[in-house]
Amino acid sequence: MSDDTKKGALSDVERIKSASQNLRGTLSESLLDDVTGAIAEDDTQLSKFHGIYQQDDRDSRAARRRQKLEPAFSFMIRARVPGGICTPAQWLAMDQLAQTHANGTLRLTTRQAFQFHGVIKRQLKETVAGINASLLDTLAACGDVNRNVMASPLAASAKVQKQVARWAQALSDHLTPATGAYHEIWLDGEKQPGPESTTPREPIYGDTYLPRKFKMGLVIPPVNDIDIYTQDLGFIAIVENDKLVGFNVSVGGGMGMAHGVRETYPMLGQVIGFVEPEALTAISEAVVTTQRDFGDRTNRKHARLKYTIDDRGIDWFAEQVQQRSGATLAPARPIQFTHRGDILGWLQDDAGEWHFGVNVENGRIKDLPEQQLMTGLRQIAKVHKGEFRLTANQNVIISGIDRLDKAHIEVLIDEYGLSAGASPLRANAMACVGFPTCGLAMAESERYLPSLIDELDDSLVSHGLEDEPMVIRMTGCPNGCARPYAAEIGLVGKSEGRYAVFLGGDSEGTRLNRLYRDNVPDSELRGLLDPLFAQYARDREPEEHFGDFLIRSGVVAPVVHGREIHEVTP
Amino acid sequence: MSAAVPTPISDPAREQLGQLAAQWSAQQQLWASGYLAGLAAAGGAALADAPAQAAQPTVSGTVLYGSQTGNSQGVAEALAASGASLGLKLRAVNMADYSPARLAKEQYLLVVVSTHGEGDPPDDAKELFDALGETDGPSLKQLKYAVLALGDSSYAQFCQTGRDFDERLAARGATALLPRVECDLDYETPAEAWQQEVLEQLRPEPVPGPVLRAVPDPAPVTFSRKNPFLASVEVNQKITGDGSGKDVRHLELSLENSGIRYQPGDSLAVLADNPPELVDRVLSATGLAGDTPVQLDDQTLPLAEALKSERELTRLSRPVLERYAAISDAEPLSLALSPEGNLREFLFDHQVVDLLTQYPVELSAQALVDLLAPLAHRAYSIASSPTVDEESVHLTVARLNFEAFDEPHYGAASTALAELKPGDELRVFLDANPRFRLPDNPETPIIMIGPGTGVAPFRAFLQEREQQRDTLGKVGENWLFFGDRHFETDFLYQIEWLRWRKSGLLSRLSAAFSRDQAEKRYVQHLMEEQGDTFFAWLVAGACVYVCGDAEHMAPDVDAALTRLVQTHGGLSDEETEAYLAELKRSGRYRRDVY
Repeated sequence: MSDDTKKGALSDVERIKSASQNLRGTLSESLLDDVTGAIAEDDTQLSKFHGIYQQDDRDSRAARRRQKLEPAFSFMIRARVPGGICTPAQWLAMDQLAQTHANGTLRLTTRQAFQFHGVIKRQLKETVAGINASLLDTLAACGDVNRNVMASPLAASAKVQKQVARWAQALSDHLTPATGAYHEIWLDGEKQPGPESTTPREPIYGDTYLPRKFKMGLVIPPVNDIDIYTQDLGFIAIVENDKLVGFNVSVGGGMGMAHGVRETYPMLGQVIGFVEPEALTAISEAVVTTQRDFGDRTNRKHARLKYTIDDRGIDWFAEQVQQRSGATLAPARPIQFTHRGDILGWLQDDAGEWHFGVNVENGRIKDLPEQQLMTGLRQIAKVHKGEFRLTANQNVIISGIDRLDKAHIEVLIDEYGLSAGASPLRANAMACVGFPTCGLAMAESERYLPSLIDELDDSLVSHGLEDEPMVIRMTGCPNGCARPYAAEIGLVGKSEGRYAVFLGGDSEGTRLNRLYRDNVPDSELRGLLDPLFAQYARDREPEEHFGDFLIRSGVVAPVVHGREIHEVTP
Repeated sequence: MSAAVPTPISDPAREQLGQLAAQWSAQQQLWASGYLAGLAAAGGAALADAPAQAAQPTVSGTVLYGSQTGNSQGVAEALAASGASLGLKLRAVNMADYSPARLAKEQYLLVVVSTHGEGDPPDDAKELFDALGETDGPSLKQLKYAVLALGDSSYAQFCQTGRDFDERLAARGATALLPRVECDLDYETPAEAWQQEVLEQLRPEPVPGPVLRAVPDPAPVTFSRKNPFLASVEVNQKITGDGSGKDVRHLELSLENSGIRYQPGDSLAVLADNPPELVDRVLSATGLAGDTPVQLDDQTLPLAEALKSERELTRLSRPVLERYAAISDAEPLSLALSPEGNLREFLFDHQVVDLLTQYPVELSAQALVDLLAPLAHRAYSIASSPTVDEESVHLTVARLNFEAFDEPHYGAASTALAELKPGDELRVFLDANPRFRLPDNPETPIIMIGPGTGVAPFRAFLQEREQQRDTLGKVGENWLFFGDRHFETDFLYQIEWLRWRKSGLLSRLSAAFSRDQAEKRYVQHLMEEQGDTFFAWLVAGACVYVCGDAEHMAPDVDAALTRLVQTHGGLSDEETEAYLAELKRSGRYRRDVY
């Protein structure tokens, strides 16, 4: 096939979506096929829309091939948690499912969702049904649709935080696919009206959904805790006199790229104006439908909203949004972000409620000898009357602790080691899952980052930088799940034991980093960074962050447009 | 052949001989060459005498065989062939193909029959066995018979079917030519002796001695237990996943230069050395030195060598236990052998070394080897088709090991096989199983039921059918039932079945895993769940094959088949029975169970 004929043709995923009868495909049949742990190939694309990724244990892949066994297939299930807020009962339900149906651990994602790993096919339906029974769901947790809507889990004003959380829930509901496939397949629901029905089956998305995934979030300045500029659509809360007056609208952020492919690049969102809260739903829908109609459906590596905007211009896009929504975009209001990290430990908000932020390394909830995260959080969930809030940095906040329960919960926190301190580097670190389950991984991520941080902390201590917060993120591939290009130190897997090192992002998440060294062996990472730490310790200005220092000192040239990220500073 | 070569026979005569020989099998040609050589050696008996001899009134009889594995067929055919060489007209017939009505007309009946499961006749023997059991059947006073019973002394009802045949024939008035002979797994030597005795009894008087003596053995074209082929190991791959409770091996052995030609459905017999640790344990239990010379048949060997390669150490048999009990006065031994004892269980739980350690007796090295049975071969269903590689044979071997009496116990052959490395050599010979063949018509649909390592021959079947499809353009539908403990680790050859399902060769693939859910699920459950489809396949002419465990699986599968035929065929009990009998008779329900 020549490049020319290839160019105009829809991508294969488009064919699958189009033929799927609104995400049904042959998923029901695939679940009943008990001689394979996999689902049919086309169904592996459709299952994502239901929050389910087929994966296999890559550690045992080669051995099983020799054993004449298919790969050890299992599934990752993602449960949507709009705004990251769930009840103690929901926490307990997730905990229980992780024990009985998954690999015994829970993972908090970088988008404030829950993830189960290692669910085998014959347990899949029960797991999804169990998540639904808790009133969370998995629909649209992945796939070419609007995914889990993020929101700042804490704010200076408890009232504003609650308002924003409600918006997150409302927008999530509004953009949830309408297909009955989900109920039919997972919940033994009634069959929905067939194709002869005149009611549109997907009023917002249409039958082929979006060209690519779509991410949305709401943030409350001055903490950019959800990395608002990495979202396709970001709403930045404008608070005046303790009152939520509206949102600045940011569009076209997105992380994914391919190593060395210059046509692919991460972008940070651009603010196109301010809207009042009443316009939020209409604006969201307008952004989604514009992308639905103009996004590139021939090339999935050029299909995110960022490319649509880059190709057609931000003014054209803003005009589309205004036309479609009927809302007017007013000039953006001034805002200021100061940092991104979570507050760990005890905090009392302005309404007098207590919160406790628990550091969860790489979001993995499991028991270790020194820290029984899983058991501890379960015990707390049994007595806690408030909420659990999942953060975008893969931590969890025990929120709204009743004054009467505080002492009891404090005892549990100590008993299970939940207050165990972490260095500032570790507290803000993020890693994707990577090996062994992620099919995209090129290198270790979650299994490796903790030991790398041990080394880097050592180095930081030797330069007297141990109290300096620094944003470090690692992913096993360049698709960017842990938002590595918005980090001060981004480490992106290239092959087993080798990483591309990106430096020069800022601490607030308003500047992309830049490729610094390619293909660095893991054993040389500390050696590469140590001299930069030394220089930073010696030459930094007061309050200057590491990423900013690297730019000021000329070690790294700032990235103005995302496509510059591939160019190493001369 | 060049015409220029001078021959002592005239051209027309040679032509005649050539025409005659062209109709013969290789084996018949070999025999004829020996016959002619014998005549020549006898000193010029004219060729013309031969027809005269053949014209003499001859003894005629039928050698009936019935077995699940093909062993009795081998014995019966050998007997018929040897009889022919003596001028006896002996016909080897499968019991399934024999009409009981013929019994009243038979002069001589030679029965070779194995016993199955808990003293049951093999499938092929059932009809005749039942007919003989009818009390009001016609008298068989004219009939002279002999019975060779094949069995496995680890079963309580050792050789029961042979005993029953003997009893039933006698009850109907037939006369025994000689006492019944019972054989254990190492049946070859007693079977040969029985054949000689039978021939002695049947031989017409007087026999022209020189001819008999002059006939040389046909050249051995096949390998046997006494003359095994040394096959080298090419692949030994564990095919159960990590964490499996089972260790199942896929072995590939080279048959290069062996001349062995097998067909899907055949087995390969393996003579595997005993594990060295086991030999050591026997030596230390008896306090005997490994280098003590012992006499075995006509050779002298060090004791350790004899124990390793020539004597059975892992499978305890009744005769060995009897011989041991005769020199030990230990109570449990005599109890196990008594009617109250559970011999089956005792033989299963105990190996030779357990007797030696738990019930020690004073034994010389020679007495020890005399006490023990010769190392028995183990037959493994071949898991490959020669159409893929005729110089190679694949086996599927489950390593047997278990703890008993706080000591590890091994299956001798499976342990030896599991530990083979590429390049190692193994003593093997072909154990043909003509009863377990694909249908002659490649378009006949087949249903294969093979849980565990019972799936091995079906890999061979499907390889063969894939080849047939490639050459003929189409092939009958195929349906495989598999079962084991766990889906994730024990689905033997999973990727191959899935590949065949994807290519359409395998129309249906049904698998049950017993330990993946609270209630045990087995292949028979799948059969009944899909009973309507199963029955539709039968109606469409499908052949059913069952391979694997004889004790539980085969009867359970048989019961499920019976029920589904009755349910979906809407048949009465009698009609169902007749339906299944017809399936068996017509070769559409074949089993290779052990």
